[in-house]
Amino acid sequence: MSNQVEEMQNEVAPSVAEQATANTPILEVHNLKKYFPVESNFFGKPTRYLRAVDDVSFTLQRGKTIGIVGESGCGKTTMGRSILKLHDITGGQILFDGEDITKYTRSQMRPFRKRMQIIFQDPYSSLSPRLNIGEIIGEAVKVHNIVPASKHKEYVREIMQKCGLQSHFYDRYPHEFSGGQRQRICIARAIALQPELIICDEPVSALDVSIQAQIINLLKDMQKEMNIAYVFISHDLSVVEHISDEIAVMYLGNMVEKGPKTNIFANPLHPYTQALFSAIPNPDPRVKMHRQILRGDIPSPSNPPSGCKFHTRCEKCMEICKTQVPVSREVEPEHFVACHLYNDAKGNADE
Amino acid sequence: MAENKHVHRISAKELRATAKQNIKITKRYEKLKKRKYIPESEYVTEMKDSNNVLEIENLHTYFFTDVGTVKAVNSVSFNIPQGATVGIVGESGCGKSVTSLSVMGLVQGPTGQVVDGEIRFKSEVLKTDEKGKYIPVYELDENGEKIVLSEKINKRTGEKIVTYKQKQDETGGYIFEKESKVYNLVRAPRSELAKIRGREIAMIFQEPMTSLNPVFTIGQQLDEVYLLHNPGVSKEGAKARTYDMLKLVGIIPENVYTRYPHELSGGMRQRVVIAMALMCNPRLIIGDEPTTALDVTIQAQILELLRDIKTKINGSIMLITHDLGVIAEMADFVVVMYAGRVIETGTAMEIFCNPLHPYTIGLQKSKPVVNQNKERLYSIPGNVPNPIEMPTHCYFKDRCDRACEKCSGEYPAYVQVSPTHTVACYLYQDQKKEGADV
Ligand SMILES: Nc1ncnc2c1ncn2[C@@H]1O[C@H](COP(=O)(O)OP(=O)(O)OP(=O)(O)O)[C@@H](O)[C@H]1O
Ligand SMILES: Nc1ncnc2c1ncn2[C@@H]1O[C@H](COP(=O)(O)OP(=O)(O)OP(=O)(O)O)[C@@H](O)[C@H]1O
Ligand code: SF4
Ligand code: SF4
Ligand SMILES: [Mg+2]
Ligand SMILES: [Mg+2]
Repeated sequence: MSNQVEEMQNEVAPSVAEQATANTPILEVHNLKKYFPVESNFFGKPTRYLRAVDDVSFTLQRGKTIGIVGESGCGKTTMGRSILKLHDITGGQILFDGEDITKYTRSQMRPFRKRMQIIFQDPYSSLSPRLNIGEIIGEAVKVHNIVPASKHKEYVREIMQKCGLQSHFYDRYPHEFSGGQRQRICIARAIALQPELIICDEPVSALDVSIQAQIINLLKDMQKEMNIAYVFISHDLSVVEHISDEIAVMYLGNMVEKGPKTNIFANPLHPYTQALFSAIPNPDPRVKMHRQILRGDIPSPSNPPSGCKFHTRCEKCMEICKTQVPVSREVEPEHFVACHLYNDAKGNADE
Repeated sequence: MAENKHVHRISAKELRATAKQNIKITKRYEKLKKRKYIPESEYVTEMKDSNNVLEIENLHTYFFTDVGTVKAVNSVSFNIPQGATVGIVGESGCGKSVTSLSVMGLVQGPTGQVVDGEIRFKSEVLKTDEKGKYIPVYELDENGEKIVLSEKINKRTGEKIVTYKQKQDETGGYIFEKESKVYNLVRAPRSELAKIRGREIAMIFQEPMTSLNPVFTIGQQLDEVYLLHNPGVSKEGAKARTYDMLKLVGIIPENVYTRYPHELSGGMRQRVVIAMALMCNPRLIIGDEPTTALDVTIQAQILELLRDIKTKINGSIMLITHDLGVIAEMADFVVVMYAGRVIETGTAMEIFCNPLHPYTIGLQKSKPVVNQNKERLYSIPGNVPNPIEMPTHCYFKDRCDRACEKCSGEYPAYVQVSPTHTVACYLYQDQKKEGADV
């Protein structure tokens, strides 16, 4: 089979690589904040905010993957959307390929749209019901001239096939597909543009394991081929472990732990991370799980607990945790954690 | 590309012809369903085994599209025993959701139609008197007498109207007499289905936005479900119930009650939908990927909750998920589907420790496992056949690494390898006891 993608890649390579910036991280996020107003006074001025993302920082190199895990509602999707500037942000700074895009307007963002893509968590609402699959995947390919017009259809079919979508799906409409098929349509749409960064928000959660494996292998292959960087949000820790180079754990809008994948899995430090890992279901009915089910209510992000936000549910909570916000410390090389248990650890405070 | 050769390009003329044909077919089905009066004899039946709550037999659900008929569910049979959890796994697009939508009577018409088969459900319907009114259950005092609430005289007719104290449940819902009836959900009229849906069978949809209305707040929508199925409940009673259910799924009610669906995270929406499904203590819960949008700690909490509710009301669960870990933990029985058909059934132990069908074996090999460093994940090569042109031989043949000559013959019959374990594959044909019912 002629490998269209590889061919195409050679054509676009010079413009994308921008050799000079090869060492610039593709994405730098500094102290990102996004607050949603939840209550306003009589004059419509917000009086209370929900801190969906509160002071998150990380750096992502080209061709690398950072996995983002954390409790439902902790701000992962909001963070992903903020990075793409799909809504305005409250504070912080976002650098894409060294360029500060924090203050960019819609039209200034336009040239970046092709270079950064998102695979949405909810495929159902992100597909236009009036376009057929070929059009959905091919629309932006046409707009951005990814391939010459004559090769357009063939290219779309090839991408579809790589995502496990058979070519007879081409003329069908989104409502005619199963949940997992729709998710693959979204993935195909994103990778068809050959972007440099993809925010993957639960990209494989609706897929059965065999297709999931196929898609993960595909994402990894594309990464190698085109040097794409991924921000990979997922609840499935085994998938995250497989695809990521680095892992960040979020809790109530904060990044509580971050480090190279092997360190995080071999030596989870934060009590929340430890609880998270103990709850991974085991695909063997003979094994009885020793789960550490988190007790206590999940606190409200609009009224988070004082001190360490996890202290209401932490087994190791100490007096200091209730009043003082723990700062992020480098406990092992490259392995950061924000927890008072590690105050005596040698490393230097990060912030 | 090699693939293109197989793709049968359809001419405009053919398209028009199929479209016309489809309209004719679907009109016939729609007409049958829309009849004003459907006699009970058409849809009240008996269970094959009275221990089951749900029996699906030979179900066929097709979509009549312009490019051809998609046989999404093509002869599916399995049972859900009372108090058991049945897990359904299978490749994306194999018809799991369509099977559950068929049970709920929610297949998207007019293109989608259940064309054959029976879905029998043991329903506990509210009994009606000859006037079509529900018959109340009254509270009795220690002498076994009804308790009089008030007595009134109708001024015009002089008739005495006595109201007795009706039994109420803890939220204030009035209790009426019930009777047990078995419905064939495929033939039951829409009005009957509407009474069963949400009250006796509740579904947690794969995409939460399908069951949430974007223009109403979470509170309004949850209250509504409860009010609808529980005559007599006050607004406050419904709200109290909503609060309880939200707490059960790990959400602080005050945070979401007055908010709109788009203001919640994906996992919160999912949990709201779970709360909505559990609202009326359904006897059968159909969960279509209920926990995939949730992180593992909340997933654990929800699974525990489902188990609790199940034991409390001796309910049953039909659990569709591709997370084998969840199946291993929750299911008593497992049904494996492939391309619209059931290919293997068995107890969870049998499917996990002794998978037989090559697809089931491949599925287990694909699962990434934590702390097992592999560069590439195993994935079953090839694709599912085009649902419009299904082959007559085993649907898995083109992807099967153990296919033999026999496999090109007709579709393999079910082989019963143990009282609970059946598989449709030629490899086990020698283990006799063929043609067993699933
Ligand atoms: N409205 C429709 N029109 C035409 N085909 C449809 C329609 N709805 C579903 N299908 C087809 O029916 C098949 C079964 O779909 P279904 O949604 O049941 O899959 P599923 O097993 O739930 O998969 P997933 O795990 O991806 O959700 C799919 O091939 C799908 O394309
Ligand atoms: N448009 C909005 N208006 C108000 N609040 C919002 C809005 N969008 C998100 N939120 C809130 O922000 C918080 C974080 O939501 P987000 O969707 O980022 O979570 P998440 O980490 O992606 O969770 P999940 O894993 O469940 O998808 C939640 O408490 C949510 O209710
Ligand atoms: S800072 Fe204290 S409360 Fe927070 S995670 Fe660490 S030990 Fe627990
Ligand atoms: S019947 Fe033959 S082709 Fe089908 S799964 Fe069994 S061995 Fe493979
Ligand atoms: Mg999310
Ligand atoms: Mg589905």
